[in-house]
Amino acid sequence: MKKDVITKATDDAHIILIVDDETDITITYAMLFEYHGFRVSTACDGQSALQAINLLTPHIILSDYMMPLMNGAELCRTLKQDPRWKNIPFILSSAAFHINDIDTPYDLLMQKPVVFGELLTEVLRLLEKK
Amino acid sequence: MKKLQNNSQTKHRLSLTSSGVPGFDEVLGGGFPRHSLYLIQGLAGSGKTTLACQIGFDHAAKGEKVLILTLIAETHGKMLNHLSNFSFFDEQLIGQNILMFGGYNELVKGGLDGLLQLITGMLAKHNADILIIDGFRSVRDSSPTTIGLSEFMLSLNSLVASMECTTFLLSPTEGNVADSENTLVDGLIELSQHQEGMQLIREVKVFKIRGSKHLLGRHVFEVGENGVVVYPRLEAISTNNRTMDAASSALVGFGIPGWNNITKGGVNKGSTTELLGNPGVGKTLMGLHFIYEGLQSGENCLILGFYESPPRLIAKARSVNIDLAKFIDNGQLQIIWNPPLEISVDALAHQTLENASERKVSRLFIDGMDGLLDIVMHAGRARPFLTAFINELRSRQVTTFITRELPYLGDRLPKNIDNSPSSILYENIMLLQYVEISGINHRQIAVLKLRQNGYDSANHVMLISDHGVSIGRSISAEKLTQEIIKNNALNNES
Repeated sequence: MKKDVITKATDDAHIILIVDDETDITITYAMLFEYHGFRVSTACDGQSALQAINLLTPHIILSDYMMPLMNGAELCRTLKQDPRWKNIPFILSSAAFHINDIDTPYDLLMQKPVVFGELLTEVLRLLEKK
Repeated sequence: MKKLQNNSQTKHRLSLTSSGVPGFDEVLGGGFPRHSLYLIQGLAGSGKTTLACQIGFDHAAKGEKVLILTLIAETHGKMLNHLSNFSFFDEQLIGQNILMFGGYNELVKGGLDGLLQLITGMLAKHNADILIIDGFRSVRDSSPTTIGLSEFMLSLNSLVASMECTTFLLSPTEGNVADSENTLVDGLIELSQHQEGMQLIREVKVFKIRGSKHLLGRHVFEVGENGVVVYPRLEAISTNNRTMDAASSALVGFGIPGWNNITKGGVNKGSTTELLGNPGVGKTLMGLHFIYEGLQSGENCLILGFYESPPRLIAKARSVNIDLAKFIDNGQLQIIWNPPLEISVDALAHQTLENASERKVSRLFIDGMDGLLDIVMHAGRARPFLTAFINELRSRQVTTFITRELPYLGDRLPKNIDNSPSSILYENIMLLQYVEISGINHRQIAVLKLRQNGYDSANHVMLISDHGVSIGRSISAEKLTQEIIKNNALNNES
């Protein structure tokens, strides 16, 4: 039996940027985070994510690791080197059991498939910490 | 290289959840891999809703949360009415662990996006373990674009995985076609019906289950008061298990002293013996002697019959001084009896093997192989079925006697199943025949085949009296008349 439903985060209206080249992931997480009161922005790779960030500053970023053009590790390093974005919590997720970019300055690394309940808990924790 | 921290998910990725449907887990390869998306398809009346709801009620009874979402399907009231006939139905669960919703309005108003949003909200709000979507064909009927439907299926799959909700889509379709509803699910199960003459049986076929080694092919299922019961095809189970019989050298007697002597003690324990003979020659009596010997030794025995009902069989035994009734009363003997009409051979085999395992049956007497073969519906299946059935009996160390009828007229041997000889299937074959001498039919018995060496291969007179079957001495056909006259004289004196 599962645990009880996690309390919604509706009052904060945080913005989460979801970066993934798999459409089903962005669609699913977008709907789930919206259900929990988030405002959601999505991007299909690192480069698109950088453009989105310039338009709408997210409070937290969830990014896939393996993506075309710019992968999640490169995106993370780029953002963490920029004073404007370096304090945005960055969750990196990957379907692979290991990632090669050991110096990636992410805040949290999660293995896919990520169970939404666990993801939401971590997102709320990182936002609170911030 | 950095190892991911939350690997706990990896080890659970392929964990299985029981269907709660008798026999189904064995077909699925142990159960359903959790948190996956399954399509259960089958035309009207095939049993989709019953099967899915039985799974739902089983999980709800364990405290899990189950959501039933209907699109264009029967109303919730009607559905509950129909389900209430089954023993798994528990009205206390409705509204508590089982919640029912309608989704058609969202599909009409918001298209696939609207429906997906509804499902997302339902799963997020109720944190369900099981989701059943009935009437899923409506999704295709809502005329989405091909790519739109694929995107919807992909997103739904991703959603249920993320929300850890094992999901069943029910659709009145058939076949493993290249539509996205079939290709973008983790499992595809089809329920269908097979017709032979006027008889109809239900079958289930698993096209695919990702992450599970399921049994291929079709398997019979029945819908009764307890809901769906699946009988995994014996041939598939036997092939997968490849259980080796112990090849015991211990001997099991026939229960007929004269014949035990001639066969040097009887047949090997766990072996199968065919009693092949003309109608009325004494095959059943011989089988009853075999059973009676076991009962008197304290063994548990089983009779599987097709023609003579248990009362008639007991009376027949009593007429030759074999008292079966007391062993039925004390539980040592059970009789499974079915006229060979519209019964499932899979269900019967399952019942027999389960009985043999549970009661530790050492002797089985199948009275009427012809009856058993008559209820094997599919052409060409008799032989592999029988091979699997006998293998399963051997692996349980059950010594089995099977009667098989020779024709009334003539002396030709019957065509065996699929025109193959019995010798491959049975370790031992006893031939019981009438021989005509001077216009009178007399019984004779011979060993056609016996696994161990050292038996007397001559024909012998077989006599039936008030004390059952007895064996006369070996004789040639020319001397048979003298033997009969002599035995008749002896009987008259006694």
